[in-house]
Amino acid sequence: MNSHLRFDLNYILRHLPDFVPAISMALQILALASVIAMIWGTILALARLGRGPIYWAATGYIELFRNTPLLVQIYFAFFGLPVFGIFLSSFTTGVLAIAAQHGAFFAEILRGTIQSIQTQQREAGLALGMMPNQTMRYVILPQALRNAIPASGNQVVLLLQDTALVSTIGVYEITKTAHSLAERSAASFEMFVAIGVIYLIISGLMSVILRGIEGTCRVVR
Amino acid sequence: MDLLPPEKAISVKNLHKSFGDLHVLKGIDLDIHRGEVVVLIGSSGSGKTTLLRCLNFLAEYEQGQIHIDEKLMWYRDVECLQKRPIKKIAHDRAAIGMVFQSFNLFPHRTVLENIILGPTKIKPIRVPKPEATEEALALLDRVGLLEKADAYPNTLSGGQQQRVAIARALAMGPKVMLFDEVTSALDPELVGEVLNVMRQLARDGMTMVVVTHEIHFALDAADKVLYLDQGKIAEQGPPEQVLFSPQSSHLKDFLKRFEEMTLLNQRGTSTGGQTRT
Amino acid sequence: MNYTDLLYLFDAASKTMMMAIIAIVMSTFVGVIGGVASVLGGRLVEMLVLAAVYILRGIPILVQLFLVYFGLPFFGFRVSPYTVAIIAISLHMGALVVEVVRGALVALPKQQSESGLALGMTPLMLMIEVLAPQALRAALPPYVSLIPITIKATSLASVISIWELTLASKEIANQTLATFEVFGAAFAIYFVICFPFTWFGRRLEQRYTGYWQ
Repeated sequence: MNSHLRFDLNYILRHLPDFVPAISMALQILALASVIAMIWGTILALARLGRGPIYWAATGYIELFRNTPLLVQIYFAFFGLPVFGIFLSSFTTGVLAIAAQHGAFFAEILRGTIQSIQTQQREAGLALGMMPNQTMRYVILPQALRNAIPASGNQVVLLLQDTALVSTIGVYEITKTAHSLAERSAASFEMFVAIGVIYLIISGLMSVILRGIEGTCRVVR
Repeated sequence: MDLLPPEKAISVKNLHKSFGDLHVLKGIDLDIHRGEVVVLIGSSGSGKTTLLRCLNFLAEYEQGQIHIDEKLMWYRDVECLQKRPIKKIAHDRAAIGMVFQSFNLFPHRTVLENIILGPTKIKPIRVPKPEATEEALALLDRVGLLEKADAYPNTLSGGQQQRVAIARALAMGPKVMLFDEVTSALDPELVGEVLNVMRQLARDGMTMVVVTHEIHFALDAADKVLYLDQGKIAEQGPPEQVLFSPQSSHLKDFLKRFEEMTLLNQRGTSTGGQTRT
Repeated sequence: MNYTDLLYLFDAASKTMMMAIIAIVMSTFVGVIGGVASVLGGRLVEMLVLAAVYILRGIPILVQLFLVYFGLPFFGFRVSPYTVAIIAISLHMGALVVEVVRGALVALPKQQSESGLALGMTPLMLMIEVLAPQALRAALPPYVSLIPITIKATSLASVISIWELTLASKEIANQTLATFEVFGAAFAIYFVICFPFTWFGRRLEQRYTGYWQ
C-alpha cells in the first residue's frame, strides 16, 4: 500500500538497467516487423494493381486487417498456430502478427502515392515503347516509393506503440518488463510512468531521425 | 536525306473512336507520306488530339485501320476484333515518338537519364549505356541543351523541358514524330525555342504529325494542314490554301480568332504579351 | 464451436459496442473542447493542449490503460476496471479528435473569415454561420474513421480483465481449442461492426476532396 502520493523515484532509478534489454527487445521487434511489413505492403499494393482473384484477395486482406484489432490477431496467431502444428516463439509470433497488420497499412499508403503519380507519367513511358510493367518499374514505383517516405515514417512510429501488445503473449519488451516489475512491488504506478517517459523519448528520437531521413531523400517534385 | 520514293508512311482508313457514349472520331481517312509534316487544327472537342493518340494506340480505337509503312498496326485483323499482344504494341510504339503538352519528363531522373532510359531499357533498341549516353548528348546538343545534361527537370523552364522531351522521343530513333499541342502550356516567350527545334526536325526530313494552335508554324513548316470539325476532316490541303482560302464557314469562324490576334498585333497592342514574330 | 458459444460472443460484442459508444461520446466531448480551445484560447492553452496530445499519442494505449489503472488508486481514487478502460480509451481517442478538430479549423481559408467580416458579421456570427458548418464538413470524414479505431481499442480492455469480445473469444478458444472457428467468428464480428464506418468514411473523403478549392 502506498503512503499517500509519495512517488518512489528511487525504485525507477534502481531498476533502469532492467529496461535496457527490454528496450533492445522492443527495437528489435520494431525493426523486424517494419521491414517485413514494408515489403509485404509493397507486394499487396502491387497485387491491387492487377485484376481478378489477386486483386480481390489483396483487397480482402487489407480490409480484414484494417477492421479487426491487432490484439485479436496476436491471440489468433499465438493460440491458433500451434493447433495447426506450427510452433513459433512468442517473439516470432508477435513480429509476424504486427507485420501482418501494418503491411495492410503500408499497402494503403503506397496505393495513395501510386494513384497520385499522374497518368501522364505512365503515358510518357508507354509512348516510348515501354511495356506496362516497365512503366511501373522505371517510372511509377520509384516515384511512388519516394513519395511514400513521410507517411511510412509516421507509420513506423505507430508500429512502436503496437509493440507493446506483444507483452500479452509473454515477450519481455518494455511493457511486459514494467508489468512484471510492477507485480513484484508496490510501485506499479511509478513503473508505468517510467515506461511512458521511455516510449515518449524513443518515439521522439525516431521522429527526429525520420525527419532527417526525409530531408536527405529529397522528394523530387 | 532519304532518296526513297515518298511512300505512304501512315495510312488511316475509316477510323472511329468513342469514349463511352461520346462518338469522337467519325470516320477519318488520311494518308501521310514519308517526310511530310502534317498539321491538325480544330477547336477543342473536334477530335484532333484523339486522332493523334490513336496513331500510337494510346487511345484504343474500335473501328478502322491504321497502316504504318504498309503494315497493319495495333490489331491482328481489319475488323478490330483482336488486339495484338502487348509486347508487339509496346515494340511498335517505340518506333513512334510522342511529345506531350505537359512534357511528362520523369522528375526522379536527370535530363540525361531521361533520354537514355528508353534506348537502354526498352527491347527493340537496347543500346549499351556508353553508346546511348553519347547519342543522348548529341541529341541534347541538337536541341541546344547540352549544358543541362545533369540537371533535374524541375530546374528547367517549360521550353527547356519540352526540348528535352523532344530529345527523349528522338533517342528511340522513331520513324514518325507526334506532337500533341506541345507549346500550349508554355509561356509565350518560350514557344519560339520549341518551334525552332520542330522546324529543324522538319527540314531534316522527319515525318511529323502536329496538333497545334500555332498557325504561323503551319505556314512555315507544314506540307499539309487538316482542319478537324466534330470528328471528321472538314478540309485539307496545303497551308496557304486552307488558311487563307477556307471553304467551310466553320473553318472561316475558327480562323477568325487568329485574325483578331494578327489585327491586334498589327495595331501594336500586346494583349498579355502575345506578340508574334 | 457451437451455437451457445456464438451467442456468448454476440453478448460480448454488445459489451464491446457499449464501451465503444461511451468512449466515442466522451472522446468527442473532450476532443472538441480541447481542439476549439487550442485554436481560440491563445498561445498558452494551445501549447498545453498540444503537449497533452503529444503525450497521449506517443504512449501506447495499453500503457495508458495501465497508467490509469495504477494511477487512480495512487492518487486515492478507487474505480472499477470498466471505468478505467473508458477513461483511458476516451483520453487517447480524445487526443485524436483534437487533431481532427484542429486540422479542420486550421484549414479554413482566411478568405472565408475576411469576407464574412467585410460583410459586417460579428466574430461570433462568423463562427456560427460560416466557419463552423464548413469546419464540420471538413472534419467529418477523418472523424468517422476514428470510430472503428475506438472499437478496435476496446479490445485492449481484455488485458485488465474486462469482459468483452476479445476476452470472450480467448476464453472459448482456450476451452474448446477450436481456435480457428472462435477467432474467425471474432474477426467476422469486429469486421461487420467496423467496416461500415470505414467504408462510409472513405465515401465521405472522396466526396469532400478538394472541398476548399
